[in-house]
Amino acid sequence: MPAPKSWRDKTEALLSEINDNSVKSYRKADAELVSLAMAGFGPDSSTKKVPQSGMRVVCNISSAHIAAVLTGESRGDPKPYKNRYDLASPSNEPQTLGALVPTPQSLREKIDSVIARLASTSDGKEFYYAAIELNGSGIRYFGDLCMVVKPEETDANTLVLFKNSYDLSRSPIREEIFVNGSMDIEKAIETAKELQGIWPEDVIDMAACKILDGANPTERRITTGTVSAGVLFDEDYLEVIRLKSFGASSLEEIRLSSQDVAVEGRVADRLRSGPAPSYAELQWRHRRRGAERISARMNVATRVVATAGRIR
Amino acid sequence: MALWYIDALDARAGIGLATYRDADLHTYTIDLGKPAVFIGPPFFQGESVASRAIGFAATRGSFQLGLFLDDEEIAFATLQGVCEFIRRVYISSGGGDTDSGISPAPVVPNPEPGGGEFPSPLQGEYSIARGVLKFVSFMSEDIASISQLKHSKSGTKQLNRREGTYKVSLLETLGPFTDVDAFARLRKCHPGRRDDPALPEPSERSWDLDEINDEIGANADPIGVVKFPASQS
Repeated sequence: MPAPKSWRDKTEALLSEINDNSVKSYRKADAELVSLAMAGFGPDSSTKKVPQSGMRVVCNISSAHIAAVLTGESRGDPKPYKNRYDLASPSNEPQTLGALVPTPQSLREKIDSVIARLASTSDGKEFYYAAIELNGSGIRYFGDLCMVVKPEETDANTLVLFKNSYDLSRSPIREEIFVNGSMDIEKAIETAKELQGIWPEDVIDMAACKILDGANPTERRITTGTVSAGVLFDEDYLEVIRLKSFGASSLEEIRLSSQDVAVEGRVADRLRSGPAPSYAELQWRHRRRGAERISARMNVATRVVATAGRIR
Repeated sequence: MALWYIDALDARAGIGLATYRDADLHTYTIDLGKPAVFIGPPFFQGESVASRAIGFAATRGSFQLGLFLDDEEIAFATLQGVCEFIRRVYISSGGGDTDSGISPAPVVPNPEPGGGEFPSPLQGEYSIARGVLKFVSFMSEDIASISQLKHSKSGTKQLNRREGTYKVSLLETLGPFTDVDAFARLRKCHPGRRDDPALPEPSERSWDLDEINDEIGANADPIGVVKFPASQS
């Protein structure tokens, strides 16, 4: 049997591996539900698209940095959202606490070179990494605010990877592409090709593969909440490699996680009735409140994600 | 030697990812499989993540790769040390520092026996009235221990203050307040005040402010500074 080429083929291959016909019919229905939810329709209807719903490209950022992104365009900054290369100082060195890494960052350079080949660019300086999200609030490890990019602001055929590209350097892929402790670039490119797709065509099937791959073999339907949690869960996500920056005008909204909002409210409550919150807690809350103010001023809506299952 | 090292750090955001490993960021043999943790505001407590990949991915944005000084990676003996370092870096981006808060403080080894957190007050000690009584009691004792000069045979004490010298029979003035029953009677004299259930029942005798001033000695002391106004009719 030839290896599946497209993500639709990979989805079909996953379903064909199920022996129990009854379970298979449930998983097929689930695959359809994933497609509908990601496309912005209701779970069992493809006739009416729900406004402002469906898959989105998101970037998380700390409330400490959001003002610079949102006001960048009004200041004439061509790259309001910056990658590590953009953040370099006039001496072309990234701003760091302490000293710079004394030797070349070979791992990042090698992975960037692999992705550059897939994205048909020269190097990683134009890469703005993002993730695919449905109803959640993004990857909180990168920041407490989830910036949601308008769908039309991401170019068609933008490269999407099935996982974090640094997983190329992690077991079990690492064993396939590392030779004598060093990454074989050509092998890495061949492996990375198996993980690539394009926005928006492939993303629906990539999501279906991601969710169905770990689905229980039961006769029970999954929910839109399961789809949302499966598309981006914890640190496991579909990686988007944008080739251009963005600013406030490209944002649909900024999402806040309900957990962070609850903590923020608790800090405020303790500020009012004691015991007094710590300075760090107050500073964190202060910056989040500032982020909401600047978002409102720049006409970017903020929304608390109460549950991942809700559409809006 | 395996220690805690920072893989990725956003100093201003106070977010870091640290790993228990050997110093390897300046080498070509980085192993992403080492145990890694995420540390961030507002609590700065380590949270396990699946791999170092998330930290390396973060360095393509606002995070710096590693923490170096003099060509060497900075190591931390404990995870708590990393958390505290990042917390201080975060605070320094705003200015100021303090303790307490709603989150547990980082567990710092206490080299001295008998230290640690102050215990919470007992359940029955939350009463405002009891708090006031305790405060007055402590204050009268502490002030008396700071500077007491015998001024006259009547026992009036002279306290040195920046503004000048006052002759105040403070102990005598405040002493009755340390009596719970007297404080309860005092509260009884203020109409509209809700009785504190933590206090014992006052005596049956009715009191007015003149009587209380008499009891605390304010009427008898010509220069007493604590004296309640005339009785309410």
